[in-house]
Amino acid sequence: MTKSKSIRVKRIADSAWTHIVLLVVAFLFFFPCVWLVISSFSSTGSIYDYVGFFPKGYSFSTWADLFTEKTPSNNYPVWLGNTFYVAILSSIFSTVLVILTAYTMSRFRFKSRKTMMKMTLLFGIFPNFMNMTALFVIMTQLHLFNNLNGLIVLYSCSAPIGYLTQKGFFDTIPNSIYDAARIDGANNLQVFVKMTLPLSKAMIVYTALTSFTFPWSDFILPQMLLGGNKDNYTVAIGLNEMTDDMFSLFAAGSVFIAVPIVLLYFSLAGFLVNGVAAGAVKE
Amino acid sequence: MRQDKMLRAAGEPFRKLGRFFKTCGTSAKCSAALMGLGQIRNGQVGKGVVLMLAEIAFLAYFVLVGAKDLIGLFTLGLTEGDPILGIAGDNSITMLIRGVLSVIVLLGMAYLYVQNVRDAEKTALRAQAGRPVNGFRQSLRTLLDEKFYFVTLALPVAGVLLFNVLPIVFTVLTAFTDYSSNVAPPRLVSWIGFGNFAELFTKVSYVSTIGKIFYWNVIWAVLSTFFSYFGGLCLALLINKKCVRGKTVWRAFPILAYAVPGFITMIGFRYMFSGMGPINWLLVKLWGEGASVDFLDINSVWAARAVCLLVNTWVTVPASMLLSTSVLSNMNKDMYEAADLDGANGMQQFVYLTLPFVFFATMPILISQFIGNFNNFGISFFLRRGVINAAEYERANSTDLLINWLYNLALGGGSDNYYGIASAVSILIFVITGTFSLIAYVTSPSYKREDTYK
Amino acid sequence: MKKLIAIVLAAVTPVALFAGCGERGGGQTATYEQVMAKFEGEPEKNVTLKVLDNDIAREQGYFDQLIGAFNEKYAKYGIKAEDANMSQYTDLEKNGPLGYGPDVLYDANDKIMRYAENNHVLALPTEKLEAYGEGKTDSAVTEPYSMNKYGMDLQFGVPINVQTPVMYYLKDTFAKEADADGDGTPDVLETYNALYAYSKGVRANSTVDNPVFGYAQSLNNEYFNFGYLLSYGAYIFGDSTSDIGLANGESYKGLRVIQDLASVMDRDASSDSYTVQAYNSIASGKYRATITTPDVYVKFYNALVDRYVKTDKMEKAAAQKKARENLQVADVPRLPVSGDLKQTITDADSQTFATTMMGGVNGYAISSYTKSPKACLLFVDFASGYEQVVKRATMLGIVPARKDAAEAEGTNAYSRMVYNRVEEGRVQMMPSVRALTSVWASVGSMLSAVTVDVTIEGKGSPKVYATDASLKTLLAKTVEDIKKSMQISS
Repeated sequence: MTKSKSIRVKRIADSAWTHIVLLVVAFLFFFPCVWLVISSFSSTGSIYDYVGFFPKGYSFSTWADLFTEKTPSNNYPVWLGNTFYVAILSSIFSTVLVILTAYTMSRFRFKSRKTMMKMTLLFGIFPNFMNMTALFVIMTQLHLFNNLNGLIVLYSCSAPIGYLTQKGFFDTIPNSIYDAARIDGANNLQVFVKMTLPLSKAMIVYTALTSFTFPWSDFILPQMLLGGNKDNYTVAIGLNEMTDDMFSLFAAGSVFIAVPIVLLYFSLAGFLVNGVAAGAVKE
Repeated sequence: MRQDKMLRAAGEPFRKLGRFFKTCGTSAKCSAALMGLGQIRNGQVGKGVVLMLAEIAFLAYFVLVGAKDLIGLFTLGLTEGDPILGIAGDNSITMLIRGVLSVIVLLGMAYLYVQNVRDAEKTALRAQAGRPVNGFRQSLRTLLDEKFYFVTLALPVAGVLLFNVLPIVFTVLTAFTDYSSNVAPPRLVSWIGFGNFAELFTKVSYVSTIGKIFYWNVIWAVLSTFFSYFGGLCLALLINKKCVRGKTVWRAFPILAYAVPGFITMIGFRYMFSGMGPINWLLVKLWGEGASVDFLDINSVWAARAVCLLVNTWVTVPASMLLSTSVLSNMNKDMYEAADLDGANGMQQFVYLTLPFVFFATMPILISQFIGNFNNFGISFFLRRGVINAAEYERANSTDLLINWLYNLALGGGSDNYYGIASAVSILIFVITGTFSLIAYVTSPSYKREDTYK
Repeated sequence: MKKLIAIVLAAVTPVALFAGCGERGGGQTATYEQVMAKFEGEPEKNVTLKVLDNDIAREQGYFDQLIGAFNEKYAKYGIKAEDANMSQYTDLEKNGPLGYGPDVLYDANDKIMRYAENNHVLALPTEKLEAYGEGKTDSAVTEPYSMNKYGMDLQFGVPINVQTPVMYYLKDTFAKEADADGDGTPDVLETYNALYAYSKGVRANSTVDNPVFGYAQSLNNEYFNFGYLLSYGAYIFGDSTSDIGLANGESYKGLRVIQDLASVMDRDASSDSYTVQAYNSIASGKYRATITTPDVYVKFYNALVDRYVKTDKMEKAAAQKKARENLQVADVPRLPVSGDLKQTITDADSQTFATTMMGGVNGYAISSYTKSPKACLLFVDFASGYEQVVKRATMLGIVPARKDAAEAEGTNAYSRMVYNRVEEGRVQMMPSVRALTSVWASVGSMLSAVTVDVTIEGKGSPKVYATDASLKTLLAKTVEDIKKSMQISS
């Protein structure tokens, strides 16, 4: 009797500290996000008009400014349009290229395959912007500098380097499925279109999602390749150039571009978990 | 003796080539003379014409621009222009990149050429053996079937060559030039051999900077990977505990943090930790005036490093938690029951069961995380924006990693950009992380046993 | 792996072979006519010029007005100017040679002259520019744009406005303060000693959550704070760039001044935050006085109008009128001979002296890569004309580089004061030497070290750098750091 009671006490204590720790963790993750939302309602907008974590006064004016103001340092609607344009097109092209690459690398055995795998691995570990000077010169030569399409080309063409997650997925599709189709006389193109693609819906969604979020929140490449032309700015560059006395504008702009991503992540959480398991790491 | 051997080894491919031409058929010889000729002789007219056109196109390219570009790669320009006087000159930098491109085209053509000779020989042998020779249509059809990989890979490979390989080659080459904002077009850039490396390892302020940065870079890579990995694992285990109610809700908070774009969280945290920011305000409220900490200021060292680690953990733990959660869900529950029966306590179960399993399953990811952290540009860039010339550092601060330093040398830090030296630093990063990851990858079980799943 | 090594070797061998080849030009000579050949003949027709002006001019509508007026005047020639719409920090050195970048740009003299060094901006035919007419622009402000090239002195930019720190404050804040000499500037702003004492009092009377500062300025800023060292005898470069005069004279007293100033501010003194929030804080009364350049006058003014309208619920027109009257610009205070701000000044003439500050001249330049240099010259001539410069001065509050514009009716009263300082040699023009980067980098971290030592480590008084000797050592060490960093890059 006393023993079972002590076990119960122990269990409750265990449950209690677990929940306390979880509460603290949840707070630590939640608070900075909330703080940003609160900050977007600061009345003066400056980070210096705070008492501790909270602004001295509140108003909605920042949110109105965000969408109506057009100054050299704030042109949010245009930036948002640019960001959407780049992210959506990059996502489409990247997904096509990555899926093709991953499928090929998983399904076919050809001579230079292992070499290619090693090379892509080697290239893949270096952030593209390490070669910033080279990219800058190449883009000017291709007349893609200062041009949103240049970014799309760059994101899409670099995407296949990160095919390993998707390849891992294709590796799990047993060869027997393909072999059966092959016996029925389908060629490899037909197999790919009719068998592989329908089987890999989840992976395609995952790929599209990650290749959307990367350009959506990337800062370095746009900063380098948009040449300071403010009509071409993406939200990330625009926000990053905001100064300390425009903090509420920064916060509002941030919250607004974070919302679609957050919604996407939550609605696609299932895909996400699978994708992450297959080897994805947040950039 | 040794030289002899080397010479012989060097001669071997040529001897092999000689033997090939002695033994091969007329078709192969025709194709060697003019691409596609052998194919036409073999009866593959369509293929032959395409190959011939390819050769003509290549020759046209080479005569018109390729040869000039190739020479330009070596000279990097001979006439210096003066835009003030309106004298057009050579642009060393575009010459460099066009030169590299011409080499890539040349190599591609050489590959096509070899394939073309081989193909002519193979088809001829096939015909001799009395087997049917593929017509043009059939050849095209193989592209959708046996050689489908050719079609699917063409675009990705071209893209990667142009936007990844070409830039990397360019970067590597600039490390051997005196390219800087002071020696840039219209001025002529020239090859200086290992001059940049010499400067990097002899100039006093560079040497001391590189030493300090490398030291922190290694500590950072280890600690940040450790915190994010075990932070994520612990959190996943905690939420997985039987007694926890509403697991989805608890998981939602980290996922929220995961979804917010990284640069936003980092800039947000920079404000939080700024001099008179909320965190310091809190410290002062709690422990009085003296408690405030010099977190991210220019000459701050360990406080800044701690903040960087903390923020990085915040940013990376959610992904790591998701990963651990999904790995744990694949784990065999029976083992725990057996362990329970054997009287193993929670800690023992964690150390002897959970950890080895998760560790093994996530090894490749752990490696890539480590390398990702080694080259984690964003943290120092966003948290200490504009903090460049800290005391005791040349164009860097205490939390900068090699990759940040490279960026500062090439772009940031005021007026002068040292592209050549920055490229030398990138070669350094290439070598360090490249070696590490190649070893880790080649020795990893997933690479060795790639085909065993099937 | 072997293959990889082979490839690398194959790539490197020709590199080694060709190292050191290639002919080098440079040091060319040319006649004046050759240099100015691009400006000969009729202006180009049907061209659009991309003009890069600074953000303040664009935000305040001055720039729109400028290109509007220009386009109206030159519409019949088919010349049109438009906003290049680039970041004001666009690097011509990098973008220009590759065909990107503005045709005409507005920047500080040191930046433009760095471009000039490598031929990125054109030498200007001053005889075709109205601003260079007899007695219109002082030689002190054209000098920074002069460089010897092709064996002659050439001008690479047209000066528009003079930059050097001035003091900003609100009249009504100091209404009760004495003004013994009756020059309009209250006594507490006449010397740094008085300002120090005043700031100490103000700071002590405010609360932690709502602090008020008498004097507030970012002390890590090399440009604004080097003046304290200059005033006590320091210089940047002597006859050559290897002669660094940071520790010259009694420059350690300049650091003493910075330490004393830091002690009446807070821990943010070593960051840019004082600069960033200066406009709003002067308006709200959080800062009583600060120093910065004249070209941001309009930012203070706007912040003040904003406060009157939003907080004090005034009518816009009344708010603007009040802001004009209330916002004051004065000379920087005088420094004590002793270098000790805690000392009480009894005789200002013998115990203090006039402060010397860094300065510069902003102006227009023409990119060497423009396709229409003659049209660009027309634009530069138009923008540097009397009418436009006066407009720029009235709309933005700049100090005109043109003498006639500086003396014009309606231009800021403080233009004369700034001009006097330039003429008296109390403004040290920013040198346009590349090696300056190394100097500024080390000076910046030295200033931060000194400031943090007071605000954080010493909690209000210097801790590590408490003695003159320690400051002298610090200066000597900084000089060494600069030399180390310049070893190769010069």
